[in-house]
Amino acid sequence: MMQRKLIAGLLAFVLLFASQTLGQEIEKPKDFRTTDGGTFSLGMRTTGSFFGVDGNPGFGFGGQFRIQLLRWLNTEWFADYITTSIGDLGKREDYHIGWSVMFYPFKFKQKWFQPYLLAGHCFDYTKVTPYSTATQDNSDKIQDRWSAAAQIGLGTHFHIGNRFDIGISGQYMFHLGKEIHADIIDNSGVRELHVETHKGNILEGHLLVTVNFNVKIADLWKSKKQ
Amino acid sequence: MEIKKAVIILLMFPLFVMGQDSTKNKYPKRVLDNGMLSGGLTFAVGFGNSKTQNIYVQGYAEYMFQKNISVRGDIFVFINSLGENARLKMNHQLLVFSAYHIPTNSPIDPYVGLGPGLALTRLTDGGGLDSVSGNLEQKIGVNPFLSFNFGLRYYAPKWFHMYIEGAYVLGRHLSNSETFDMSELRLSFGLGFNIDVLAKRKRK
Repeated sequence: MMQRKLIAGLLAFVLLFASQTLGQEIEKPKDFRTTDGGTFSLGMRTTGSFFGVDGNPGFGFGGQFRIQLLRWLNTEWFADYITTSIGDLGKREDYHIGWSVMFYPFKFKQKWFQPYLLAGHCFDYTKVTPYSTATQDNSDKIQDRWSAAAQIGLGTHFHIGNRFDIGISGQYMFHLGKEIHADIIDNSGVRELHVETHKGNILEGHLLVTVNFNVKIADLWKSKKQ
Repeated sequence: MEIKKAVIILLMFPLFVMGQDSTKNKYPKRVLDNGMLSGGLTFAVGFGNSKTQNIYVQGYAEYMFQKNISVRGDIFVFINSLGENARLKMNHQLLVFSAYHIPTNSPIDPYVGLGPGLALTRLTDGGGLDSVSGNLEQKIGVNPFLSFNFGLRYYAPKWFHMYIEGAYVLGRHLSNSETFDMSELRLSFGLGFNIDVLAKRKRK
């Protein structure tokens, strides 16, 4: 039942996407770069995670949509799945879902370059899996946690044509949740991964660098400026 | 004998169609435009870092929503891995990327693209001990990757294009036991289909 609802929802989304895209294609092309707001865009992203608590860089897959509210204010709603190898002895998986508000403080004459500042919130699920070996089953040592996060950063869009942009952003994300600590221990010449969860909430952070592309699909409320 | 004939006809059919297309309608300088929906089905071979070859069935769908820019989705169904160091039993992949089609005044369409993907991967050997069954178990991993794409197409104006393309896929298999580098250079070629879904509206 749940799966059917999910498939129906996805189909409705695809149909909406297609109708909006095709419907606006033939009219005089809109210049979404100079909009006063109302632009809905959809895109994909890849995210690198650096300087996390485990010290290893992670790598992710995700997507986002944006609803621009004003000429100088945009919102981004995103989801990411990031995996990190912990010294080839285990892995960390991070699921992020959240939003950011993007501020465009500068107005340039040229339209292709649009830097922004961003800040927002995020909800996360983290799971750390120590690898099992041929002689030891470590599946009972998997630890996980839910956390809330806040992020701040900066980035830029590079507009290519009226309806497409690629972008890069860097943001620092603070997570508030119980601590999951993964340590690599040398046990008589054998490297082992110890995963521990500590009681009580802590703040831990990581730097996220995201490369994304976006297609501007629709003008949700007809903006004055085109 | 019958099978041979069928294979020859199948292989030659697109050439006849493309040939007729190009003689009746002289090629426009640029056949690509917004509204072009294309797709194709072919085989792909990935050359891994550890001297392995991975074989896939590849399907793709692409929509050009703006002049020179398209968004494309690819599915790779893993068939087999060959080579002395081949260790992948599963490597199905889903990829979404945007492509920039370099403008040319010809039916030749070079393009470059970049995008993220997700892979379902599993190893053939190794693995971790499952204390319940007492066996070594290789679990399926869901792993993100990044793909750098490039290719060359040759369009017959209305329906078909032939293409040769490549991609460098950057990613690692992470699962329940050990990591494995699944990065590879992937090559494929074949025949694709294209249709201008906005043609009627453009004529109005």
